[in-house]
Amino acid sequence: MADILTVGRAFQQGMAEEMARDERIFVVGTDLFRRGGHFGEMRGLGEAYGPDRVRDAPISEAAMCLAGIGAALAGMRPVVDMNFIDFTLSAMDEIVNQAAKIRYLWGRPVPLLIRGTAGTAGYACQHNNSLEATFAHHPGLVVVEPATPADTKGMLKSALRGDDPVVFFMHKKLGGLRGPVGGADDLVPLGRAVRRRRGRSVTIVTFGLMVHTSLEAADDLAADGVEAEVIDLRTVFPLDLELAVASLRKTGRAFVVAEETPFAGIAAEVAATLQEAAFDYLDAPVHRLTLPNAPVPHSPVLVEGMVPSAADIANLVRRSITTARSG
Amino acid sequence: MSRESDGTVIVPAVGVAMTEARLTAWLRQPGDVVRAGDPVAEIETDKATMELEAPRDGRLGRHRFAVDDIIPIGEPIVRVLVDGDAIGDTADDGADSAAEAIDIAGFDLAELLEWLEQMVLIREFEDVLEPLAREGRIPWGAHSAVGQEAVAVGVTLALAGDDVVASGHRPHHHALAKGMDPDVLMAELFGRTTGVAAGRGGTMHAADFERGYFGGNGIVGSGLGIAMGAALAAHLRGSGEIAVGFVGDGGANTGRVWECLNLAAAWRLPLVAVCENNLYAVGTHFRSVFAGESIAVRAEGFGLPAVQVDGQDVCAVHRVAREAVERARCGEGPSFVEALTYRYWGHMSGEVIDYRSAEEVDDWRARRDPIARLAAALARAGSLGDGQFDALRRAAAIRVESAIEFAERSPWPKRGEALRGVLSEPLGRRAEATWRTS
Repeated sequence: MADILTVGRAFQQGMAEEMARDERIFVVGTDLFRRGGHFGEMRGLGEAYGPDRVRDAPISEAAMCLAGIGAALAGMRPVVDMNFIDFTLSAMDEIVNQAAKIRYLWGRPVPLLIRGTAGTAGYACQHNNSLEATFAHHPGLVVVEPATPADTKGMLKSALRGDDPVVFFMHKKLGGLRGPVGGADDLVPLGRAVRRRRGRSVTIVTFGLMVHTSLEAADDLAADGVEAEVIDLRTVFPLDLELAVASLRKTGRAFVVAEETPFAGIAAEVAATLQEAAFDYLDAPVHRLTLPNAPVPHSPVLVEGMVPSAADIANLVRRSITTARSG
Repeated sequence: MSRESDGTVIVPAVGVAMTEARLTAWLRQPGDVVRAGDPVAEIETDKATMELEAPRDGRLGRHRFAVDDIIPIGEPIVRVLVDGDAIGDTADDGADSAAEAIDIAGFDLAELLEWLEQMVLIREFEDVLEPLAREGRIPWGAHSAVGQEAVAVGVTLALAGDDVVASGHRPHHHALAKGMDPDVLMAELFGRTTGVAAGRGGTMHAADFERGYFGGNGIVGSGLGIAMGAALAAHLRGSGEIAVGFVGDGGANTGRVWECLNLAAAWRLPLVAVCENNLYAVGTHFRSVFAGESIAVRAEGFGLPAVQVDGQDVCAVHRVAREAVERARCGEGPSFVEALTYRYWGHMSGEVIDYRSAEEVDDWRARRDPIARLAAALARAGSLGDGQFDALRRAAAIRVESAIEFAERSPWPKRGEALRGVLSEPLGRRAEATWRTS
């Protein structure tokens, strides 16, 4: 029977299994060896694999990434734990201009995994950036944001056995989510979306925490007889929109829900691609639901209303359907 | 003229009857950073033994006497130099004399001849880039390292074949010294499919992993970081390999260089960081933007051995490199070498150079040219006969000419090639498909 684990523990189990399987894997990050990382995803790995492979670093993001890149070029499989994904901004050249470009230049694989805690929660504007689109915009990187324990573990394994630099987003509010996980050799492929709920009425395309918010909205809509199909992208780049396009051709209505600032974002990319691929099937414009174009503040009162809620999604869907009927 | 004021150390008179002293020890080596008051040499008279001190802050010039020499009082024995002086300088070396002498003692002459050959090949390769770029045969131009050959050769030849070198935006001399075939490097500059990066990279992005050459780099200071990562891999695997990262004086003002040096020191990685201080970051003079005494002194703050060396003296470079490589190999951690050097051409081909005088360039060429100095030393030692140097140059010119021919007759890449190989398969095909949905 499958283990039931939290997302955090699923990541830890995936790391432990892969480190046992492949000696080339090591982790670099702050507070790793004793504390197991700021969020505990690496807990126990220090004891199991020692300080050489679970390697404490100073707060030097650029150097940590360069250590990973150079080691990857020399045949290792490094994991760089960036703590908050926001801290990658101190290593942007290393990720975008080094790691992402090397395969293209020299055909040399850079099997490097960069992990960061993402999504909107506390501690204000410098710890709550939505950087998925930032990385996805630059060729040469794989950008993933799993939404379940099984995907977290399975996609981690695919990343660690793959040959590309992967930026691995882990949502702050999903760390404690429990669910079944796969076994030691169950991989979840990168670059493959999944359907989380079947429906005939509308298509909701989303990823990360918003998968769960969208499923909640779908329950709410079902009470009104509106059947929402929910597609979880899982990998932000390269995008897999096959399921979304097929769904849209069936429903005629698509809503893209993304926890990100709106301009030139993942939702914008998905919406543009969907209308190009299924224009003749559309009964309404493809709608986007995202954060507003503002930094995330501290006060919970201020944050409330910025992140799309289940009610926001359900209301947008209802409005769209009603407008179409009355028009 | 006061001897004290120009940094010269002389043998002082300590007694009325004293006329000479015996040099018993050198306490500091040429290139060492010294502060005023630091003992640099020890002498002995019939009455006493005494230490002679540096009269000012700077770095030590060449030793004018050997241990056990008997030196008359008042004689200058060494000079403490400041920026702009070459290590070989002493107060009485005239600027109009020919190339300054280098000390080749302890080196195998046949080996030195090979080094000379390699430096001459690099010189010929790099010298031809300027006209090739002007003629439009090298698209966009190139960064030539003419003048810096001794650093590349002196350091790289201290390495084993599996050791790693990573470089920066002025990388051809490192690539060639690490054994890259001039044909594939030239073809890369020409943007041809036979280029070492299949025409994707150009002047800053040639790599040859088979030879441990982890590439040039377009971003200042990053090569050092990549070398640091390779050193980490060597440490984790216990492979015994070491890595060398080259940066310039420009890179010495980036944060990542010092982040990486700290990491290398904290983790005791087998890394040798070599800073080629050629005085100019594009057109900005090093001194006008650098705070502190020297790059080497800054590096010392990270708790590792850091030395300054005359980068125009291949033997001096090799001596410090060998020591640093040994340290790294024995698990004693990283070292830092600041090589004082100079590029004769501009930052890039076609550049209008308005930030330095022609006299300055001429002076470096006339007195400190690394090839002329090695050739002169070999000639003095009798191992470079009349006409032999010209023959070396001719052979190098022919080799470079054949590299140009190879590049020119190589095909251009097919246009669609630009989309390939961004990611591994099958992700790569999916990524490609995101370009056009129709």
